[in-house]
Amino acid sequence: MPIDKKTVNAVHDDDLLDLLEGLGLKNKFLNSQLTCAFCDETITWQNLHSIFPDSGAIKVCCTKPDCVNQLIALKRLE
Amino acid sequence: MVDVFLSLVTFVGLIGAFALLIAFNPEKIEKWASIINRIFAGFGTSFNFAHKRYVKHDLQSRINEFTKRVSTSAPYFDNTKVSIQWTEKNLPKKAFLEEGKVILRLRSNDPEDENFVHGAYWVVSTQLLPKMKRYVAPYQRQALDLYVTSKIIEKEKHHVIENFLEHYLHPYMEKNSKITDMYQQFDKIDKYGVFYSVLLQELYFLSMKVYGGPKNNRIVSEVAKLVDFLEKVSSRVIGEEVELNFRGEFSRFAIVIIGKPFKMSLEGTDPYTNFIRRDLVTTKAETIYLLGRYEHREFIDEVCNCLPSELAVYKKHRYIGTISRKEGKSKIEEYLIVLRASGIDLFQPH
Repeated sequence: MPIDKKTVNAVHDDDLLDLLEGLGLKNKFLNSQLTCAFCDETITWQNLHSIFPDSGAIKVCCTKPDCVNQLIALKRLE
Repeated sequence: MVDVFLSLVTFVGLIGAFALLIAFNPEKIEKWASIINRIFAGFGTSFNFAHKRYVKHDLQSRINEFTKRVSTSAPYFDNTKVSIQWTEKNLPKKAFLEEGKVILRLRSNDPEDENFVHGAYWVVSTQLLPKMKRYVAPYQRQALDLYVTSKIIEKEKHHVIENFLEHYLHPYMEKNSKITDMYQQFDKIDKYGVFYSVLLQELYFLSMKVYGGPKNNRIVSEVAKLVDFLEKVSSRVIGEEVELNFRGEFSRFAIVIIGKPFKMSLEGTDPYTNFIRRDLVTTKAETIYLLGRYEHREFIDEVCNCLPSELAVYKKHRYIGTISRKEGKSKIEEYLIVLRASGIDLFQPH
């Protein structure tokens, strides 16, 4: 039976600022101008859950269960 | 485990024994690797790389161990392996947008083990039974995700269960009583041993049947009926007659309980094999779960040997189950054989 390998992409905090810089979000993040795509809450080191592409834009999601759930639903529909 | 290892060393030498252990238990070896990396990570900032390795191996080994454990009684689960892949830190914006994937953030300073809480829920929600989840109602999906994640956390990192309850389980349950009801049904089914694995297995088969087709309410309704059915079967009192044959539109399976000693000694295997041929094979049951006490395993194997060749043995499994009698519950050693009818179309992911 073939193995169904599921890959989860992740970024560790050690690489986060470099990644955000490449994606053009570093300054927004450091200046508290980055907000959750679902609830508009300011994203900080405390509540950043994930980074995702959506309709040609790069968005972020906070750790609130409702927001995580919306992200899961959004990605399932794609 | 130590005994097994020492026996291996005797026969194949130390290197051979390690090679065999790695081949058959990669999750355990990975778990050890994560522990070693965690120790190194405590030595200061020069060992930051070790924390990164720890987080990756810790999460993926514990989740893969769960799917492996479930697969002892739900064979098709064995082929799901999760891998955490670090995104390159200089990933260009264009490549990120083209790839279209979510990047999960994992913390370097994580005293509350939030990496595991968020990581386990994310992996379960997005990677486990993904095809099935496209077709079920949101409350069914959420109840399943919450239940599976809570089981992984309970088993693998019990000290963070409070964090999970507070962060995910209670908020979801407060919002939707249907999630609470279904979660409680899963819990009931799981308490009696093997039926939770049967549920996951049947959900998997169901997803393979409907995948590619349109979403519709018949699938949602069948999943609800399947859960109701297994709840009734799992909490039945010994001797109580309940329906053991599930004939849905997408899922068709039967549970055959072999256990009445007088029937076994007086009539042998015929009543069971005749029943399976007459009532199950002809009515196109696709999966048959034969179960009974472990002490009756030779008899159960014999039943199996007398069955038509179109029923293939997929798994034999020994486990501790809970049974209900009028006077109370007790734990006993049980034996399960999973039989799958040949010729059932089953899409396999590549």
